[in-house]
Amino acid sequence: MPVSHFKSCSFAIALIALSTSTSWALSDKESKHLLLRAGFGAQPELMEKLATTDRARAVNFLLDQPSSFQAPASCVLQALPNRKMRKAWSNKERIAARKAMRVCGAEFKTWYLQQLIADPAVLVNKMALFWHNHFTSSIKKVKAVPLIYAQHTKIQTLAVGNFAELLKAMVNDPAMLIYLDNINNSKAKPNENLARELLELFTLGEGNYTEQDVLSAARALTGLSVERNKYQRIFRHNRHDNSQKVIFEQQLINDSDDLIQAILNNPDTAIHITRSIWMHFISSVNERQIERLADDFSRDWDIKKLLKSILLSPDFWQDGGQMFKSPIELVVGSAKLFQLEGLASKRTVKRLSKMGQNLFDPPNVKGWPRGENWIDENKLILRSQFTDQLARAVASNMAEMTAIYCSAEQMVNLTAVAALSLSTSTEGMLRQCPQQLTDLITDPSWQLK
Amino acid sequence: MHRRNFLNLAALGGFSAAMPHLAFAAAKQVPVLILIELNGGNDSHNTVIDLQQLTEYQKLRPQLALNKDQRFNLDNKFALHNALQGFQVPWNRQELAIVHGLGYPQANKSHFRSIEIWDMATAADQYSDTGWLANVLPSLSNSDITALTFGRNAAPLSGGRAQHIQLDNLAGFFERSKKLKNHQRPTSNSALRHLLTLNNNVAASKAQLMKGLSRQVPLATPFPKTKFARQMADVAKVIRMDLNIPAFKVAIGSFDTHRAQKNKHRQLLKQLADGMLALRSELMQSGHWPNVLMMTYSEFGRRAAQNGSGGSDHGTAASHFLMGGRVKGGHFGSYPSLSELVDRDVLYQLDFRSVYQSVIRQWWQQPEYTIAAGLEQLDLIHSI
Repeated sequence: MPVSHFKSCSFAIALIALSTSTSWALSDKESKHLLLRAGFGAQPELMEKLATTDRARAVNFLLDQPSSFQAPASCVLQALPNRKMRKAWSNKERIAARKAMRVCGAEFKTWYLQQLIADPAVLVNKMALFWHNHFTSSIKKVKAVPLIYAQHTKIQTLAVGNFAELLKAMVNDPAMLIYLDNINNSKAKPNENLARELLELFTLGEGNYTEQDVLSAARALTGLSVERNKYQRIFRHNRHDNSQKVIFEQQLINDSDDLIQAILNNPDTAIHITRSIWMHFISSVNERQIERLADDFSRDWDIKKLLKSILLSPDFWQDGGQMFKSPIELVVGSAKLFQLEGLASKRTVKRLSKMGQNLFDPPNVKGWPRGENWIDENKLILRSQFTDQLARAVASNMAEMTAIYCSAEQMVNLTAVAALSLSTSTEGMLRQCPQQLTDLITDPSWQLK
Repeated sequence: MHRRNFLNLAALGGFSAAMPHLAFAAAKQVPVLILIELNGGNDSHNTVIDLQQLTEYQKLRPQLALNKDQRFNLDNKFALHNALQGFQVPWNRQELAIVHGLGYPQANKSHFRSIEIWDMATAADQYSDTGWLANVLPSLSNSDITALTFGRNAAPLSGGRAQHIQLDNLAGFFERSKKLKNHQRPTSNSALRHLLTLNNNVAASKAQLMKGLSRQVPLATPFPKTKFARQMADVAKVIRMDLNIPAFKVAIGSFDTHRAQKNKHRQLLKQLADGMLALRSELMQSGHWPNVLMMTYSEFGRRAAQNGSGGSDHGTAASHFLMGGRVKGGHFGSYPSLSELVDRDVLYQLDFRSVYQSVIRQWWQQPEYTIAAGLEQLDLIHSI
């Protein structure tokens, strides 16, 4: 085809493309894709909701779904024992208290799993999980479950809120200050742990700062600590290095607020955060697009707006089935689709941990694995063990709930990519439904989104 | 084939160590390298102490420095952490090499970037997806699987032609892989292809390991009950199966001791030593020891001075261990000066890739193999 001819058509083609991609009602395939990525799977009730909307409305709908979590177990809400009480403990009591805290931690993880399964606000929860994996803290190190809960509450509240606020909340968060050893960061002997991870993982990204910046950040964070009575954030003036520090070559800072401001003013922060969120939803990066979005993001730090742009980008819609479900997505998605509330158990929490996603306890400060790194041979075996049991539970429970999937049209919506040759006749489908569902759930495509 | 069976029978009978030709039998197998990752950045200054710099060491670490009761003199130049007491025996038998001052120029102090540099064996400003062993292993052995990783991080073996699998422990792997169906089919979806490849790897490795396991390898040595030692026991088992698998990787951690370091570090080093020594003892008895080399590595050493929290921050150069039946025991490289610090850190003395390259050249007899130009050659291995 001659180039000139091609050119003359391009405007009209662009118009058609634009209208199909943004303002027309979603196809089942598009709804499924959106729900697998921005939610936990193509739940029929959500599919129905999205069927009459276009892309923008669908994304808005998901972003605006209200989240309602039930209160956690009482051990999580109780005040932590103050210094006086702790001092009065006998050895036996101390050991008992430690054990009670571990038990509480296990209950807390189960509670979170329960909430994720029950809560309708799928996209907010997806973002909360993202931030848990970004501003990591480990329950194993922090130990005090109420502090981890308090951190979680901040994350849940600000998950699609304002990044500058969230960053400030995390730097001042008691669990974070304990997790990254800032409680011991003092003028006389700075401890660099929080400073380094703040620059490397939480904001600028590796390679975008110097060792001098790490030292200056550590000194700016000196004195920021947690008091040992009510476990609240405290600023200890006498341990703070009050001298001016130079960061990013020319900016003068003194304390943590200055540091956060300097970090927010550094364009690498917006790029790093935008890229991280992008990669939470899309399998391949588009640096030009990310830079553009980052530029917008740095103006108001509005996470919701950024999310909208990412989820409405053409890159997102062309990416069907190219990502791996995280273990929590695998479990929560399955529980939601088949209404298996029973999956919210201590046993499942342990199983999640074996599959590589110990809730509130990532393997290191960089968080749980991402992308292909989620699954190696061992994890594949563990995942297929889970899906085998899931398939049995579903097949043995073929009541009304699962029966709604017993049609070729419905079954196609269950996986991101075609799993196997499905029976096309309604009759055949009904007869073979339990087996078809089993094949579908145990197929590798069940792991994709 | 007959020789292999005989080897196993002999090992079972427990009289293998008395039979000198067994070392030769084992040598028919490809030499085995066991990489041990000290995950989190091991505090090398509190692992290997330079006795000539004691004053400086104590000045930098008033509380953190190991006192006389917490270390032992390996020779008249160096002391080791007491938890490594068991290393004295292989040291005396010249089966332990300590390479000092390992690092690289423009040290990166990020855990994640620095371990990548060590795993890929690149310069600090080069990026690669291919582990330093990933294309070396396939030419060494015709085995279907050329490497096993126990636990975290298979990066040194990934991204190349090497077929490797990652697992937590043998028993669990067999138990769970029994039911795994093979789902092979053509696909253009790269994510699905990744899953199908893994699926295929499990099938292949299961078949191969089963072949070995069918010959039963009860271990003669009691291994400690730590996760690391259990994984070392599994490594010993697979080595005793004589499957021609040239590389294993095990990780132990976390060595990221920013705070209240002493106790934690002692426990970790003890676990490390106990696991390594149990493997040594087991494979000496089975006759495999001359064919086995263990090597430690870590993303970085730690800061010369202690921090304010009874711990140490991320640093640069470190000493590492090579232990094996054909290692040339002794000191290699040089311990960095504790008085000439740059940015509060010691200066690396020897590119870690010199060790890698020397190991590939000498242990696997690939005299031409080059990781990078200009790397120093270390004479680490006795030839057979």
